[in-house]
Amino acid sequence: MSFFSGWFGGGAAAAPAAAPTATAPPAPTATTAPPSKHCLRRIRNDLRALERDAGGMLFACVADDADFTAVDAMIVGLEGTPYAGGFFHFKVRFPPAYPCDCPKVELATTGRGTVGFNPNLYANGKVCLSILGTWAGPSWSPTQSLASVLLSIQSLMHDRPYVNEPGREAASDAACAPYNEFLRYATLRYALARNVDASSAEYRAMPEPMRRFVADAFLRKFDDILALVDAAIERGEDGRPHRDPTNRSSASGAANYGELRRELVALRAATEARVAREDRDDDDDAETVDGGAAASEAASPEVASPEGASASPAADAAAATNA
Amino acid sequence: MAAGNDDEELRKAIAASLAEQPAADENADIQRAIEASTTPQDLNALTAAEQDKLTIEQMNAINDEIQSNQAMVGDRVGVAAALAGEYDGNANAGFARGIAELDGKYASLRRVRKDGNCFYRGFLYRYLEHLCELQAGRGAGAPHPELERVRGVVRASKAKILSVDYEETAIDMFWEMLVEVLDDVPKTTLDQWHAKMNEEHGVAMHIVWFCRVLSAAQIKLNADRFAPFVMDETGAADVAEFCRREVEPVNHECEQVQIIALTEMLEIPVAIEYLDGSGTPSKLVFPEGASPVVNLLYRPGHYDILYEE
Repeated sequence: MSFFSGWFGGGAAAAPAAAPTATAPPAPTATTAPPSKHCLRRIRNDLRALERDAGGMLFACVADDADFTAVDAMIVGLEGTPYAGGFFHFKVRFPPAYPCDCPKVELATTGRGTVGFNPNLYANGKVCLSILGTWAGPSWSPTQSLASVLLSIQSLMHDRPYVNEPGREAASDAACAPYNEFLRYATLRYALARNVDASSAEYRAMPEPMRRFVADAFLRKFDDILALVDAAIERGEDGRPHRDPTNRSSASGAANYGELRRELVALRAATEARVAREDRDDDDDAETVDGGAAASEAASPEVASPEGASASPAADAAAATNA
Repeated sequence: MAAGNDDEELRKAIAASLAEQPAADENADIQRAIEASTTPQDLNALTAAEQDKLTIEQMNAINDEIQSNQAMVGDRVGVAAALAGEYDGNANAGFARGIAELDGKYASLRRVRKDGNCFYRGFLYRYLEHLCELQAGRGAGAPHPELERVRGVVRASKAKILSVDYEETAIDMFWEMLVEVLDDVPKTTLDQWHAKMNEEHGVAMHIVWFCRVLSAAQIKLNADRFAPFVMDETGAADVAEFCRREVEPVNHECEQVQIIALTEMLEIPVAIEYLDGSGTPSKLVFPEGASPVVNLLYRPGHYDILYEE
């Protein structure tokens, strides 16, 4: 995990558990030349194209305005798949020879190293995709872009991910069902609840514009999300063992949908309060500073909010636990 | 649709070259290296996916090593001096005879890095070197007609490329760099050109990749004509898919089809000497009957540059 080591900071975040079947991605090559102006221009174009074409299902922003080669990206789980309701956070690193060399992409949403969300997405964060040089098949070409990489990953996150493993292409729906059940709960628990919980390490690891993107989408889709939880309870999945039938995840225990439901309701209240407070702060800023576009710019891939700490994580954490 | 006799020429050229050549695979060296390398794992105990992963990691490591050990384009050296050592002890005496024959025909050779880009890199290096020489011969005066011609072709190529569904944002800067390199020819010395083509992560990797786009665009623009030569193992001929898998990817080796497409797109002929164990190198010229400045040496899996004098 040398590449993104230190990603989860210290504190509450446990070190990602060593995944049983996967090894860390290869370290980047020793060449650490600064990115050329061509590389930076292309990254900027990629971000702009993504903003234009993402349709609300993809998101990306630079974590640090001083370094355009490190991008945080998010894939929204598609409806009708076990990933529905989830927000999957990817760390993207563009090499100095981008776009001649492929970007390095790692999944940060792994239930802290306990969930392999797909046969191609390992619990240690590794993303297996031929265009990234980590899987057999057509390899990278500069005709690819950040958007096409994210779309390729999103296309792996379909309604029957069990069949992504070589040798299981012809698996029946019945064979796919247990893995889907595992993924549905893991998605709502780790790719949704953790990512909207301001007290979590996962939330803190997101750049400010991404937090806002997730919060807005969470509030907008809240009824649909709750319907997913209720449907799972109706199917009798509440309290069943939370276990990965493909043995690529160490997550264990029970799928506690009842508790998850209560948490999500509390998180909605906390998120609404936080969003309202941020908008109010932005309005105040807009009055004191010149120019009033701050709120709308918050979700723009180009603009990383400089005052990421304006919302108080501590207050949000309290709200989330008390509610 | 191309005229019927173009079609016939292309068919003939490809059929002839394929008949003479063993299946070429640029990755053969890499594959051999992988097989030769000792690994602690018991390969039989691994799943198919794990074996794939291992192969991918080893290929990446070998590619990194190639990058750090081989110049992108080397200095000119004598043909026999350059090649003899590689075939020392080779049981097939045909190689030694072939090398002796090439040594009599060609004054020198430049090695090109074995990274899968060798055809494009060698082709571009030699052609631009030639342009620099031509232009140097005229001093700082008007551009040489050949420089004018190729500048026109490259400038016009962008519209053609966009017409076959490449994104402008994807190809724009690569195109610009080649245009700029051509514009700079009148003030580029041979040493400067050599240095430029050896700069890691510089202009070279961009313009070398752009040759792939030029080749792919020509194939797509003439899909009907090229389709019979891009069939996959099931007999399906999807030109766009062929370009995606076999032409566009960085470091993917090149076959006859790509060579013919690139020479057509730029209207720059190329001659290729094929050296195998048969003892007599065979020379193919694309298009047939031309007198190319760009001479390349092909040995199974790799291209280097040859100089007649």
